[in-house]
Amino acid sequence: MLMAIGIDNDPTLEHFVRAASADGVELDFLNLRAAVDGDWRLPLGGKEDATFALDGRDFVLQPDDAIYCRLIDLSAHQVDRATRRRWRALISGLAAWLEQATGTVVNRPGHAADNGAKPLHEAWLRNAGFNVAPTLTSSNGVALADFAGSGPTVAKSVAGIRADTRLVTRQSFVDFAPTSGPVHLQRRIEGRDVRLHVIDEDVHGELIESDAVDYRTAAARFAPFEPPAALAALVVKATRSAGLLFAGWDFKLDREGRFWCLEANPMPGYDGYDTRADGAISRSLVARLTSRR
Amino acid sequence: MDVLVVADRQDALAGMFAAEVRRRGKTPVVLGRNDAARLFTITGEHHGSRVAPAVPILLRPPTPPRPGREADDLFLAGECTSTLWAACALTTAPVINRPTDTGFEARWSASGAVTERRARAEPAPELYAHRRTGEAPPDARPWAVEDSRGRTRRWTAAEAGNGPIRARPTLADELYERVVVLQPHTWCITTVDLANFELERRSLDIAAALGLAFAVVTWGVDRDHGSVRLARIDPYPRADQVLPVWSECLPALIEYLQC
Repeated sequence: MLMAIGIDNDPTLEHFVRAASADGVELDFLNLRAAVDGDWRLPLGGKEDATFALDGRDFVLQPDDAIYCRLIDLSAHQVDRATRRRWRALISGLAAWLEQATGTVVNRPGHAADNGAKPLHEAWLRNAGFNVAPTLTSSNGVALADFAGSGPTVAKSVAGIRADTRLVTRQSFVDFAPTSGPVHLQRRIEGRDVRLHVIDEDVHGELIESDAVDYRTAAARFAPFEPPAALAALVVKATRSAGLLFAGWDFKLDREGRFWCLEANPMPGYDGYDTRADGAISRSLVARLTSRR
Repeated sequence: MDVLVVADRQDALAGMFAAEVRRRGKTPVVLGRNDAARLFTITGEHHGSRVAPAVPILLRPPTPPRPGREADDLFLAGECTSTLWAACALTTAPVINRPTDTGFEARWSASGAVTERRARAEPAPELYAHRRTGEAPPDARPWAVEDSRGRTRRWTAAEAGNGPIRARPTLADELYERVVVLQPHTWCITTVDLANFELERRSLDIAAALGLAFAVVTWGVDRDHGSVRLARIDPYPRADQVLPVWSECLPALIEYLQC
């Protein structure tokens, strides 16, 4: 039995459940939006089952289950204090239970979390052997203006939360108030985008051409992409060293043919890429989850 | 600025530390997380990262979040925490406790069982639960239960079911020994002879495995001093926890932070 854990309005999880079921895989889905209002019991340290009672049915997680999880904490969106607390407790308890579970968990909590602190993540990427464009993180308007004034520059979220990447110039930081910061800037690499999904040793690539700074915000052309062997080996090795079985890697491919790493996402929203790849990413995921390695 | 203390204004340990630094003729600056994050500029280049200013940092627990914050406030608070996390992890200056790629509190986790596992200590059971009709202790052992507000008490009967709980077994009528760790030093809070349990060495190993330079490791001890259990690991020692050894701990803190 394969288990999927997450929220029912997460398009990526919805896609995984649909794709795995279409392949004839026996799968059960724990919807956290229902679980949070039900009963749950998550014992740690003794290899005991986790149990849930929700929507009139009982649900059991066994420590050796194969689990695909996307733990999304909705506590910040709850108005009611008691509901906020239940969300926090459920996500904390589940993350702890999944970290010590003995089965295959994609991705097991406790892995590297530096994607949530971009300057740290980029330092890790450089150390892992990737080309990373120069960056500056600051609340100092003069430093930000100098960086943006010395070449094409994009601004991103420091915390790596979903926010569009946008072009900035020296003018963007005229009268900049430090309380508006910090801001994370990166030298813009012009070229095509490459997305690689790594599942253990499988690598699925896609090449994206778009006139926009952030291809997710505009029309784009997509094509399957086979990465060079050296790059594929590097992303496989780095994914493993981060403690991940599944990661979504973003690159820019410049006109000289150099790959510039933007980030490695530990909880990739992969559904759109998978649809275009005719379900190849989901098949790799399911194969890895059910392989019992 | 000779040392940056990232702390809430109410933080007693931060206040005592800053006062001593000042008494020694140096300049401590005490700021909350957002203002502290805005001090730093982090440059990432091909050959590595640079953090300016390279100032020693004492990180203390964050101010509890104000309820009802607007989305923009939440976003900025997140950006500040991420910047501070990166600055403290990447700076060449000494930091207590230095965050790692695993988390802001290095390898420490809010789950006791997970923290013990990461510390390579024998993990004791832990239970996260929510039952609308109330949850009873799982077995005949004495258990301590923490409710959703962080209040801990003995778990003797079914909880009323008005919120989620986290619980751990304890020893019957246990007493406590605390070990303050400030790498490479340790201090026991009591004078009770528990040498055969090697609590100082074990506490030092646990803190090191978690990447914590400064921590308080609390041990439960039974009334006969015949057995101990790892009760709790605090990555942000409180003033009341370290006060009995403050006269030794404070100079070591100042030495560690080179301020």
